[in-house]
Amino acid sequence: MHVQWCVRGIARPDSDWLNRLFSSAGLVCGWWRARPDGTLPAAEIQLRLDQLQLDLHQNAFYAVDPRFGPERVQDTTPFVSLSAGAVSRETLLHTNVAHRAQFVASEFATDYGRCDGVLVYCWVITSTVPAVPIVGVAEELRDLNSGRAYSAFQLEGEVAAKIEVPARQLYAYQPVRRIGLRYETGSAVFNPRFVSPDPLSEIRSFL
Amino acid sequence: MTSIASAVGYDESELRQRTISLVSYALSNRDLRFPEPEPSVERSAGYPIPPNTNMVSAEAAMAMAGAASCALALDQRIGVRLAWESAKLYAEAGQPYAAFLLGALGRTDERWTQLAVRVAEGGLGQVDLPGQLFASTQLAYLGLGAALGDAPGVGLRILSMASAAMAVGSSQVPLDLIRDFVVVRIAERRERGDSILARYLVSAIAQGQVEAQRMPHYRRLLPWNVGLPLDSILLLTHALPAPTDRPDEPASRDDREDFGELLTSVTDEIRRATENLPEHVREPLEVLLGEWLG
Repeated sequence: MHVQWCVRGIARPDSDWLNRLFSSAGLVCGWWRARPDGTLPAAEIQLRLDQLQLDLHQNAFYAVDPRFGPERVQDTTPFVSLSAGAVSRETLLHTNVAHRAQFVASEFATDYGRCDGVLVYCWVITSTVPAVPIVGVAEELRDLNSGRAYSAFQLEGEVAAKIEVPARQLYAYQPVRRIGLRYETGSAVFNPRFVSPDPLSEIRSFL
Repeated sequence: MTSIASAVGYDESELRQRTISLVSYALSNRDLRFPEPEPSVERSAGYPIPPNTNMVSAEAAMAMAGAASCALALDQRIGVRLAWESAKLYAEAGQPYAAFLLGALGRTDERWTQLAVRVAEGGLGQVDLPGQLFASTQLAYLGLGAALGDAPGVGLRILSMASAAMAVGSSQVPLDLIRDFVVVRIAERRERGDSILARYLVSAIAQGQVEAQRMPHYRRLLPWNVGLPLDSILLLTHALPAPTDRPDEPASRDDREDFGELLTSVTDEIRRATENLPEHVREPLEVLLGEWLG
């Protein structure tokens, strides 16, 4: 087990939502966000935290959910996408290339430079082995040593949290946008209730 | 004539947006940092540490190369300029791939020429060589850069040091084919000429584009996954005969020949853009990409 710092890019954030982010439940999954009454049926959580749902989340995010549809996976997923970056082996140049978390998140947050967004910095607990049914442990989808199934999206460096990333684990958010030919980040807004992972051991940066 | 972008099934608007995004990232990736706490707040030992400088430089170089690949499928003048910007970034990162890009763009750089001469004369036993050279692909790119630039003899000696069994670049060109190409180039004192290498590259690029169309809609920064493969296209530009050296040929009939014609047209444009590069580099990137910025 270790603590993993991550970044999440959010495009066109609603200002009310952003203002309440640090006093809310935190970053919540699409399933929770899409619930009309804003509540989550706790008993159903265990039904959704399985390998099939994780595969759909990673590889078919915009497809109709075959089990919990007719909504699309983005509105039924119990997972929260975060990026911690990834390294690819580029054999054509005999070099390893880092795909940094802040780059991946910036492209998501700005829709590849088309709009304004925010980068949210947070930490989660992850494991070196898959633990899909365990709510408190995020899945290291980027790590081919533990998750070995092929995914075209592996280089997004995804770490999939489950149900929520509690507000106390959100460090700050930072506006990001493309101005001319530069990605520019604005002043960070820090979470006054942030709880540092410092007392824990095995803390890993994002790339 | 159909554009190369539409011929290989790219959405031109997406390709322009992707170019802008990659150039922007290459120019600003050094500024993306973990937000440090205000001075009044004690810094936690558990906060993320910044990535090392080499990693950030290499990432910027590759992002710019990816932008060049995108742009080459749309506007070769812009693609060549971005390839040159990428070469500068690869040089900053200390990667010999810079020597290849510079050589392919007809530019010489004293640093890489001197390194090539040292390697050709003294071998890899020298202690002050960049670590990447011990990877045979990077060694091949150093040799290829010299061969395409102003030191073909030096380039050939370096290419002879690399493993004969290796294949180079996004089209996985057998090294023997590249060596033969350089030998003919030196012997015939021709800058460019038709060759087996050209036919191999046209076929490989066509195949690569077919495979790219099967890939999911996911866009990465790597220059061999978006647009036209930068290294293969630049090499093809040297391997195909220039318009003045080409015999008149009857109109082509099958799809493969049509694609070959499109690639020939692209390389003609790249040649012109390369010749005018010294003039183009005076134009700020914001002006060059003005229309795409919207």
